[in-house]
Amino acid sequence: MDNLISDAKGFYLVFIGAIFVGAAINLTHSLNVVDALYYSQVLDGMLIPVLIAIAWLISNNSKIMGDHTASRFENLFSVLAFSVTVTLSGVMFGQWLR
Amino acid sequence: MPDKPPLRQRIREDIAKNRRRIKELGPGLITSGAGDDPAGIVTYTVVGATTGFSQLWLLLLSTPMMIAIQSMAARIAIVTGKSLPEITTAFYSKKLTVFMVLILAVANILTIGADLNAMAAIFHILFGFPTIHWLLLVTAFIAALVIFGSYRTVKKVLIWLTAVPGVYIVSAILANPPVLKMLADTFIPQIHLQSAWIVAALGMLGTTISPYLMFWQASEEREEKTSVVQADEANFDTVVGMVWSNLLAYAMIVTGAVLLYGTHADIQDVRTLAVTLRPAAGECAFVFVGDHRFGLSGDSCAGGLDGLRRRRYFRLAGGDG
Repeated sequence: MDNLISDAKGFYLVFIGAIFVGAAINLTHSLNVVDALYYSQVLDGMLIPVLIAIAWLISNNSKIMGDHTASRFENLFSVLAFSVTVTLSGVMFGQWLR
Repeated sequence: MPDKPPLRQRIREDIAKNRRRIKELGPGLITSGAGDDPAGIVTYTVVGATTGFSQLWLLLLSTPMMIAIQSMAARIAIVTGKSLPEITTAFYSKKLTVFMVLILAVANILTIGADLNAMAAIFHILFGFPTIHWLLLVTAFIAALVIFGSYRTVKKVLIWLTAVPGVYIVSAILANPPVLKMLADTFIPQIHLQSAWIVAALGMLGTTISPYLMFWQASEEREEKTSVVQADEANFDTVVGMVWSNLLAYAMIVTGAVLLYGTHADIQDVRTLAVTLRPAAGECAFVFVGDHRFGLSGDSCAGGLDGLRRRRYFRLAGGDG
């Protein structure tokens, strides 16, 4: 926040993109407000495993983390979160294709 | 450009330096739950309305998942002092970084877009004027807050706002849920294969372990890096923040389940959702929901923060191309 604004390209892109999405939802009337909020979170649920996997890889890389690699608790529950979200996404796609 | 060691090498050296530093100070964790944004509130209510109590056990299970993922992300930020894109570029590949940033951008743009649209829709209902005008105004306001507001101000606002949804706990109690059934469903897992149930489960996990929280966490660590707190104490803060935020989620699902499940109410707009606050707020419920959503735009700031994080990547991409 107290950083330079000049290199905030990504920040502006996300906000401009968000305005367009908001406007599109609003103008097309294809999605109501509640559905838009709900399905954005469903999509988040489908994308989460990728991010969990990356965080898990880094956390267990002792070249990066030194002595501070992930604990047993963190490994157990991050892998569980990964498996559950992947399974749910898989089942959902399976149901779509059927 | 004067002679500089290659970017990857510089990042690796920085990380090594940072690791030596924390060896002296001990790793600290500075974190707080970001609370629930409009997307979260709507998702939990819809989950309650479509699946009743049948996903309460999954919410309970998601709490340690959330704590594990957040603390991993937080420790990465503290140990390396770098953002995730910088780390993936230095230690893995640029392709992975681009892939990751794209996924985050898509998730963020959709979530923030839907959040902004929801806030604009509420202003439209409250004050008239076309929604699109409110959309631009709300976005400009939040962007200004994120760009010009100091980190501390935004954090203070966020902390205050996380307390406001406490009204949902009152609402859940006054809705008078069947306690024994609720507890049984909280501790005994059940899985349904209807697609609505699967979609609801993904939405619930998606909003609970929100992808941008991972990055927000990282930016927060960095901004406050100078004040290193003892690990145990800060871990406690993290856990309290997340347990609180999941307690709110629990209350939202319960009220949604008690008041909307089986009623076949078509949840089309925010007015329907105001029903879930009626036990606590009576006829003022709608105003509450209105304020609430406006207030919780704070979370979109979290998304904005995340954008601020990401811009580092764009600079990286430009500088190292």
